[in-house]
Amino acid sequence: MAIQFAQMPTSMPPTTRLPGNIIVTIPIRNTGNSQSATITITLDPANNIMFESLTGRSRTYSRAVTVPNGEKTFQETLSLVQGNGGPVMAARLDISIVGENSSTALALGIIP
Amino acid sequence: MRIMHRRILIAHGERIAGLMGCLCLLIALESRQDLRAQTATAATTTASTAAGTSSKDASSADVKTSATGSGLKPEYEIQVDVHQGRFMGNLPFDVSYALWTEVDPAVSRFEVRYIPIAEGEVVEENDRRWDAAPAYYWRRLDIEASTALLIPAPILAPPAAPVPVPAAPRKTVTTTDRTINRTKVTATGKETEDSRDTKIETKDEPPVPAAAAASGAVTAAATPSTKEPEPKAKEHAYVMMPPLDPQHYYAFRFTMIVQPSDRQIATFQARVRQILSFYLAQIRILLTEPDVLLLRTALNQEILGLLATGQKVSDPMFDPAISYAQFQTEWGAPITAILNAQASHALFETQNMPKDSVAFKKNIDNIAASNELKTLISRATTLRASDGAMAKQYDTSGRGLEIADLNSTRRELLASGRESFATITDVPMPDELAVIRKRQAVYREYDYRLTLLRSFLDFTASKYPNLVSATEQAAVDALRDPAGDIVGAQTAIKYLIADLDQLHDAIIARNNALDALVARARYAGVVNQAFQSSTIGTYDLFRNWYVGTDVGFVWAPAIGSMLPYIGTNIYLQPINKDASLTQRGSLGYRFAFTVGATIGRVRDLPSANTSFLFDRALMLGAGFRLTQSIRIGGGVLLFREQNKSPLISGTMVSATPYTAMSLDINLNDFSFRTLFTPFQ
Repeated sequence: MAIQFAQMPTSMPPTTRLPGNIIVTIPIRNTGNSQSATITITLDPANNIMFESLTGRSRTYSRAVTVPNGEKTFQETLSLVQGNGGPVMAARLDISIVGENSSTALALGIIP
Repeated sequence: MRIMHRRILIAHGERIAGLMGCLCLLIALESRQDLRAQTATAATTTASTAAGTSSKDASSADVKTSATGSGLKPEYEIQVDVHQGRFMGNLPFDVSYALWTEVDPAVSRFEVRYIPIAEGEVVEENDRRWDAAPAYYWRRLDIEASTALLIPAPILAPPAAPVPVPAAPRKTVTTTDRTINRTKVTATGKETEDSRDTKIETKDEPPVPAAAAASGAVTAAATPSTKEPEPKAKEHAYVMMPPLDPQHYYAFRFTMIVQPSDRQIATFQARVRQILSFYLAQIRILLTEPDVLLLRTALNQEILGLLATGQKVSDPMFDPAISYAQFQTEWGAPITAILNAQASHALFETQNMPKDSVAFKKNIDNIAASNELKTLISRATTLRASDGAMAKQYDTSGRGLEIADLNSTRRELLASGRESFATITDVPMPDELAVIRKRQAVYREYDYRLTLLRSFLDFTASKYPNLVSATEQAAVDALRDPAGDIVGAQTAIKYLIADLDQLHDAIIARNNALDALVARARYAGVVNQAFQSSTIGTYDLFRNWYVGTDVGFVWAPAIGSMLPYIGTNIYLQPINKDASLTQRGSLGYRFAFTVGATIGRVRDLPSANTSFLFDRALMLGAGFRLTQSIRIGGGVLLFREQNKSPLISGTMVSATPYTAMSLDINLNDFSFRTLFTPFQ
């Protein structure tokens, strides 16, 4: 066993209007020896949605975390802005734990 | 022509003859009215009476309706063939009348709209003008006060079982239903070919959508087990229509909304659920507008395939014409919930559970491969025959000791959760939730067995430390160590059970989101039938347009006495004498020119040798209807008189003003009822 999702990540709110902030909750459990992991959240270009931070806009958010044995929940606050393309009904946030072969796709409802 | 202002004498015998003639005429007309009255039944009531005081319009319309339908004037109650889109009779004007048609009990609403059109114009069912036209409707169980029809509840209340509907004595044209199979039943419900009046027409349950019926893929849970109700007799739906203007063309649209039964809705929704589930399961990436368009197109094509002709899904979200933004607003949340549930299901089924299963199998393989453990159990088996304590612990931990004997196949089944036990109740496999519960039960059973095994090893280590060699005992101790394979297997089981809980929750969440969408998928049969008609009918209907019979008495100041006369009234527009003057009482409906002749002779005594009109006087004037039939009028009487000059032997035409009171009647339809209708 290794570091993997303990539950399906969730977004609060589950549906947002752009631009807007969401808090992604990621429960992780560690059953292995290593306690270090990196969480990445990626937006597909077709989403037409980008992360916005002080350093600019990007489509990838990454964060190194320490996961002791057992379960730990991480919360990431993300600022989302509309891209230049058309609107989408739901955006897909690809969330993965780097190197652990553990990833999932969180659908985020977009209010028109 | 000069006007004469002198007294006209009338021969008494001729005057009596004239009065007798009028009397005979009125008696004959009264006899005719009596004959008509015999055809009318006592059950006939006016709509105003039937509807109580809730419909002033109906009250004033003098429109008859009847539960039996007998003895009604066809102008007042017109049958409609809603499927053919036509009236079963002439279209009257000026009067309010009841349209009626046979409707199936499944019809929850029957609506009529009409709009004036130009001659030859054709208006389609979906024309925008229909939206602006007032609706006259009938609805079961939800009768609203309106200017439209209000028929008494006993007529509207759907019968609990097929009941006989007395046949109307007037000619009834049976509607032709193109889509519904019918059977004929008697009052006792037996099929018969008899055509007596006790027969009624019923139909089978409203058609099940063909595709849905053919699919047969309805889950038992989605299909109520309740038995279908018995077919109900058709009902007569009445809709009161306001007076139409004469000489106009109209387009009519009949709308019937048929509500399917609960069973049909359940069948339909079960199919919709399958379709939604199938298409939403295909969504792996984004929901851009093109994606959504494809999704909605596919959904609607599938769903429309479930419906029969004329049926529509009531929720607009299933309408392809709904905008992307509206669809996004309405469906965004449930679809997002479905996608996340699917993602969660995939995460735990394809990633977490395989990893946790591998870890569990590794631990259980290590336990089963331990020769030291097998040696310990073998010696304990031997010892139990002579050692009561060992025997007791051995029996208690028996199921846990079996783990050491699991072969590779069973360990593989166990790791995948497919191992089964006779003590675990088998659950039907088609239900994925049941499979999850069963797998969790298997894991819990092995968690318990591992606990028993560890307890047994703890017991032997403390009570029988020399049962095996020190080396063997060290290996056994490694197994029961908190970091050993036994605890490791139990930890893996804990995660496997948690993974299955996540799978369970994902399935529940997806089902709930799907249910929320499917619950909106309710359909109704909406049958629209539009057609054109006009109030320009046949000669029989409009023969009184211009000429009405006028019978009465004329009085001229110069005469000083009344003379009976007969004449004609000429209206300047079509007149429906059945129309109430309260509804249609404008000047044009009351005023008419009069041409007639006196029945009694008019003779100028001093020069009575006249031959003009056989000594009758010609009446030229006009009149005004006070009631349906009583008219007052005035004008001039023209007659020929002897020239006053004795030197002139010829006659001359003279005129004198007159006033008259008469009966403006239709000889075919005369009724003393209209004669004595109060002043309106």
